[in-house]
Amino acid sequence: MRIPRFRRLWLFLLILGPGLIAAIAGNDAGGTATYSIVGANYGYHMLWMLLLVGISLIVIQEMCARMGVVTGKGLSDLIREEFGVRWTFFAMAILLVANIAVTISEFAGIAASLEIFGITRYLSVPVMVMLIWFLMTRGSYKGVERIFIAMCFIYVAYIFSGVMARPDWGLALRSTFTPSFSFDINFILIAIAMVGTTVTPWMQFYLQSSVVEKGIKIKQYRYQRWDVILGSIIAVIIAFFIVVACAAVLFPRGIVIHEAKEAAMALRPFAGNYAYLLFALGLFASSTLGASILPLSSSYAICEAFGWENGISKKFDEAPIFFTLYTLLIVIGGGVVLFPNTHLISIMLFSQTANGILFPFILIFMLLLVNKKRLMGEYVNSKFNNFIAGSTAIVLILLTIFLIIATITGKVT
Amino acid sequence: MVLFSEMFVSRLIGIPVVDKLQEHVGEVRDIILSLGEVFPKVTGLLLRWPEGAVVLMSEIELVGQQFVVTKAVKERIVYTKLREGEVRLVKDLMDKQIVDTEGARVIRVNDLKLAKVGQDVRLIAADVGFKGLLRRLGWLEMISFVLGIFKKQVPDTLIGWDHVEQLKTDKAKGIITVPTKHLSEMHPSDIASVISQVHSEEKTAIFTSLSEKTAAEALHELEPKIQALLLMTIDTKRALSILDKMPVDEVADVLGDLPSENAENFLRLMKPKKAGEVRKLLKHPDETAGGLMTTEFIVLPHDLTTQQAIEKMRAEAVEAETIYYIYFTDDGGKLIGVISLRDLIVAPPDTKIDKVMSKNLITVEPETDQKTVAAIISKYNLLAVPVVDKAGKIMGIITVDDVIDFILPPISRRIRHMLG
Repeated sequence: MRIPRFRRLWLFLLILGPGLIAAIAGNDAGGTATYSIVGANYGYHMLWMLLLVGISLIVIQEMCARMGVVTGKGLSDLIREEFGVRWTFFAMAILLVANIAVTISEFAGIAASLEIFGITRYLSVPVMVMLIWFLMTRGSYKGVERIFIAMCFIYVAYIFSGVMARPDWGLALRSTFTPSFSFDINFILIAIAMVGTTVTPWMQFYLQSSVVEKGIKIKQYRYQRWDVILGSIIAVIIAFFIVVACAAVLFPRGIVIHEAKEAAMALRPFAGNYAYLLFALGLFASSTLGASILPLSSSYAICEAFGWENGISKKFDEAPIFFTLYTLLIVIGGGVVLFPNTHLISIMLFSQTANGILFPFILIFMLLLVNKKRLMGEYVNSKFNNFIAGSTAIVLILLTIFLIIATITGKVT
Repeated sequence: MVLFSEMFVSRLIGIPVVDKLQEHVGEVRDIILSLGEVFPKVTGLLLRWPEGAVVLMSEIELVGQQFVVTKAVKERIVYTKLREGEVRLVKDLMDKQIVDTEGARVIRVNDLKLAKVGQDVRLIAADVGFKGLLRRLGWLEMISFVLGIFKKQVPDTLIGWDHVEQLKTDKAKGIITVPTKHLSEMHPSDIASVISQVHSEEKTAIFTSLSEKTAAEALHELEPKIQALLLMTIDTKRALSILDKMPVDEVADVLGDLPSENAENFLRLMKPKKAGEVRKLLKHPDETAGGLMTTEFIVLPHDLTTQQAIEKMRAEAVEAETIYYIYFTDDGGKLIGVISLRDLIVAPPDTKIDKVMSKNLITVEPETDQKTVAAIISKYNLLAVPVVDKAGKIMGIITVDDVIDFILPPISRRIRHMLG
């Protein structure tokens, strides 16, 4: 059947969303911090890795959306129905730990962004914890979500800044296509963080349930597919320019990022003295978006897997575990940041490393599911998809082993 | 055949099967069920080894906590094969979602309970609580012990199988064919709430299993997005008969939320008269009086006696959404009066309608905002308000249930939302 062009566009806009939101929310506090550190510490040297991560991001997100469309079930539902209680418990424990780490990093992002304006974290974090809690439970979330998503586009400023900083394009391009590796703790930590911040466990659960929620049929799948691919490409392009901007501005001057302010300097070529303001706004928006989505999506995933009542519009007594989990996640996320002398940038970076270490486990579950003919029918993974996703899992596991070896042998530079 | 009182499926899986001489035969992999009765009967055990072999219950002497004992010696056990369409407890029921028809909610099966009933072993309950989860994880003894120190117990959450509705989907390849008797006995609003909680495929499955009348009532209670999904996935012929059973204003509501192509498609196939009325209603924006009103009401000429009016009303009542108000027009079709059912019945039979009807009419225009309509209905304590055009001709009526959400204070709306 031929569908008129305007109708095709309409369908696309209708479906557009989950993939884009997931990808944009991926460039959150942890993402910004990690990419900035990558650029500041290693210049263009790690760009080749970003290219590969970008490819695996597209493949994995597409796989995830396809699973949602074909089975009509969320990822945690599928894990429970196919692998039983014990494996579900394992997967949910992994997800919970990874998501607590990311939630902490989001609140670190909120704290860091507002500290640029001179607001102490001891004020900003408790206020934001309460604000987010009320916003989500009182149901006025959807509208606010759009505002934050729109604000996340502030990161497009990095593209301009990256160009205006007059980077050494020849070197940047060469680095994008020539791998270089260094066997030391910091390099490996940051490498895992870079993969872990781009492709995260929570994103898979969030994306798949959003796709299911939208009730997209297999006939409309190609539109959903483009949403996911487009979202991933945008996310990677922004990440690329964050690295390039930092590599051009911070790396030559030998500036190591200790505080958000230093990361903000990468926006100078574009925004001049407004760099701090722009950076702070972007960081604040993306961190708040993450801090709103993450605890909620984790609670949904876990409650669905175990069959506990869930739903943000329910009352506490109707869904006690759901609300306890949700509240606990937000409170832990905000609470850790308030410990005296915690270093915000390190929190953001290490939480992404934790994500990268944990992600292979979730990815293996996904690969097992997406290759089940009984579930996916003709839509099982292609060899290419399996190769990319499988390699991602193997590389992350290898990097984790390297990290352990490097830690034991104490090779720090 | 002996079964030690009651037993959970999770405990049975993986235990060894031995013959009557204690000779090892194999291991239990799954339990086979024959459906059709309220408490389905266990017909056999599927073994992990020898692979794919099924031992019928008639061959089994005892199902114990530690092992299963067969009646015959190892060499003489008669094995059968798994038959097409047989239901397996672990593969088909465990960890899946079921509908608790008593609580009108969807839950996940953590474990299944078997019991000896007469000579048979039957599936009697689904464990949907913590206890089942802990048992599956193998932590039940430990947690019970710890809680025991504090004189507490792990709460038991069993749902009797007589209150369980298994969802049948295409993905499960039609293995499960429990009659959907329980589900259809539920209130349409409760069914709607169950439908909104399950996956999209199961939404269609449940909806298809309903009688047309129940489906029609449930459909209107659902969110527009789900309505569209259901109408577009079920058989068009069936969708049409369901739409036919719904009042025109509800049909207009539902079709109004479909993509225009699909709505047009349904309209073309519907009975011309009803389609015409729906089309008229669809012209009005959703949030105005025109969008809310129904055209199924009783309107009669004003020169009747009350007796005649009652007879005419009786003839038209089936089609009308409400009969509590009867409207009267003059010869030009202009609305001139209304009478409540009560006033009509208590008036002497030969009284002229003109004498008893109320001429002091409260009306709204098709463009009136829905909130204003609600305010008017609430202010004058009406059950319905007529919608009239500029010339005073009656176009339709809006009943109180169409605007109840605007009349209720926000807090009770929230409760209603939670209930539904």
